Amino acid sequence: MSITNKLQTVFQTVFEDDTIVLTPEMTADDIEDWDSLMYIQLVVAVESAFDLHFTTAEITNLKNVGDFITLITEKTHD
Amino acid sequence: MLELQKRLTTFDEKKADLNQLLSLSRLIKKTDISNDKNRKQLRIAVLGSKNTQFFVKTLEVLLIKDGYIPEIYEGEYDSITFEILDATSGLYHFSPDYVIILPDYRDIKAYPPLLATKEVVEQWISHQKDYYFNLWKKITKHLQCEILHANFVLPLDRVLGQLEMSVPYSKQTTLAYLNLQLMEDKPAHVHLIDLDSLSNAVGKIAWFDEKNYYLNKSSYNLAYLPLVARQFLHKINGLNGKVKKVLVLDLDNTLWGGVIGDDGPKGINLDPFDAVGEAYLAFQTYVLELKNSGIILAVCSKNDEAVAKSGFTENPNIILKLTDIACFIANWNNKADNLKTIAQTLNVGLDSLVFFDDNPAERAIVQDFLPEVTVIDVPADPAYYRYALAEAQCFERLELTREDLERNGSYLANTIRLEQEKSFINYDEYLQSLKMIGVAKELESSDVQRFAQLTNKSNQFNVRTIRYSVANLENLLANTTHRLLSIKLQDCFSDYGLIACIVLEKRGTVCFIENWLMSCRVLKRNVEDFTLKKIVAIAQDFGTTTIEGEYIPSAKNSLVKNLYSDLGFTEIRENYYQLLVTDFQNRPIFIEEGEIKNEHYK
Repeated sequence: MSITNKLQTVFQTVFEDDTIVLTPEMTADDIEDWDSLMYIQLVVAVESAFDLHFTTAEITNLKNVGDFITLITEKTHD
Repeated sequence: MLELQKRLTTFDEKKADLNQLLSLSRLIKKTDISNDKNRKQLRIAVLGSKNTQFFVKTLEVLLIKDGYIPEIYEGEYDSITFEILDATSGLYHFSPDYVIILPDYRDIKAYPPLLATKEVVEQWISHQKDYYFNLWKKITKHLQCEILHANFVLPLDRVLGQLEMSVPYSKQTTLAYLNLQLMEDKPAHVHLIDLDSLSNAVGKIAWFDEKNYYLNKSSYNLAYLPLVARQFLHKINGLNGKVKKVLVLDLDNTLWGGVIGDDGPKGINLDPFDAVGEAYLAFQTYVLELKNSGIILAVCSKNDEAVAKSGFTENPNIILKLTDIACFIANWNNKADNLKTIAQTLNVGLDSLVFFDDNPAERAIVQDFLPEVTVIDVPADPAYYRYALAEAQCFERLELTREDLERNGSYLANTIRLEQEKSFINYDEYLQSLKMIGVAKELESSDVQRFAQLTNKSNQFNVRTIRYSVANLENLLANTTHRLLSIKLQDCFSDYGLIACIVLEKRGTVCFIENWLMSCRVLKRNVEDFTLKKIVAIAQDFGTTTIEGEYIPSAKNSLVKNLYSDLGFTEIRENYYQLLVTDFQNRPIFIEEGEIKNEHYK
């Protein structure tokens, strides 16, 4: 499964919405229920699904779904 | 509602991740459970110095799983002091039954200076301690509630290295000392929750999650939320009378290695020089410690009784003795039926039982047929039996009383008494032979804790099932319209301590029995008649002419359905009874009124 597809599954699970389709430009404004608590939940879920850890700075710098995908790609290809 | 119930039954907080937890929390928000009559309503305020949002959601899920309807007030971020000191704060508007306080070691901004003398350190500690004692006092001034206060989780930082625990002024030493000091002279309605020991059990490196602290002010790794919330849940359960009283143990491969029917009493493995034998002995030692702290032990084994008992009488290494076991059942019947017999014999509900058996099939049968019984998930290796039992945290009690320590003696004496009962033809003659002494007194301050404990634990002989906290009772004691009557009992076998609690309210010319409850250990002993005589005396002292009592049926109190009519009351409407003081007739009672004697036993 590609990183985007896997990330999409994580988003669908966290937001309990199977209709979510990820695009790189997508931000918190595009998904209903994406508040600060959901963001924490999302980060925990992504870290666990991809078995990696983000640094504090990486998490604060994430702006959209595209950043997420780039970061995961970098971390999984190390 | 159905969807929620389905999800709750399959939800295992020990295995759930944050996603499952929060998904359930959202489902709860969408489901209306307020009409569920079987659920008890709870009002809880959570005040924390760090992020409490996830904690509140987790606690809510666990409370709903355990059958409550919680309404939770979450204080503003970092507002413990503000919410408590400002009498107009949201906390006081909300008026909770429980206040949960979650401080963090990072709240402490200044520690004693390095090389500070012992006196300076002690001053610092008493200053910190006073701060929290004052907060508790302030809450209690405005609210009648129980306070659940988390202690400080000692940080990982060890600037002084090994010196941290060698000098009085280090962060580690001062915080550890402060945690201990919070216990000293603590009011009974404040309950300390030992999160520091929880963090030790988890391991502090795993416990702390610094990244999430800086990002969202989580005091600890969110993976441990259910574990943290569970500590508070146990205490709330205890305060609501949900406590386990009896540990039911299997024998073969549970208390000893091997099968006694095949290996014989000397062949079972309790060998202190064998690694496996040692593990079984360590488990027995732990079980004995539980028994000594007031947990009742029972045996439920598929064996011939004589063979099963020979393990206790003929193996020289056994630690538990037959006299430690209040109810011993060894036969070939199914264990679900046997557990029912144990509950009946010991006069407790099935939900008071904890079942420990190495055989997964027996555990499954019990769990299936008797869902009220707590079944321990016993590991394959006996070396870990102790931990499995400890980790389940079934025996979380609110406090330890003298009665707890003596209870086992009185249950055992009960068994001997039952034997004696058989040899008397006339029951009165039997009662006379017990040489019972009863002490009826208005509740004294030294007994308040035990009185509260009994009101929270008694389910069967409890006419209206009203629970009282220590704070409630102290309030009633100060109230001239209420009288609290306590009854103690002793016989030639044992001292039962405080066994009955009665709350009376003067309502004009009526003395109303707000609640009447009694420990089931003293059923059929005339204590009811003895008590009524005292109620009549108080009614006269009140200047009232009528005594009224009500029976409120619960799932467990059918035992007292006819209590009032049996005592000569008239039912004036359904479950509501009346007795004119002038109609009271003294019946023969075989309880002598007096003082508890030390040398009363045979």
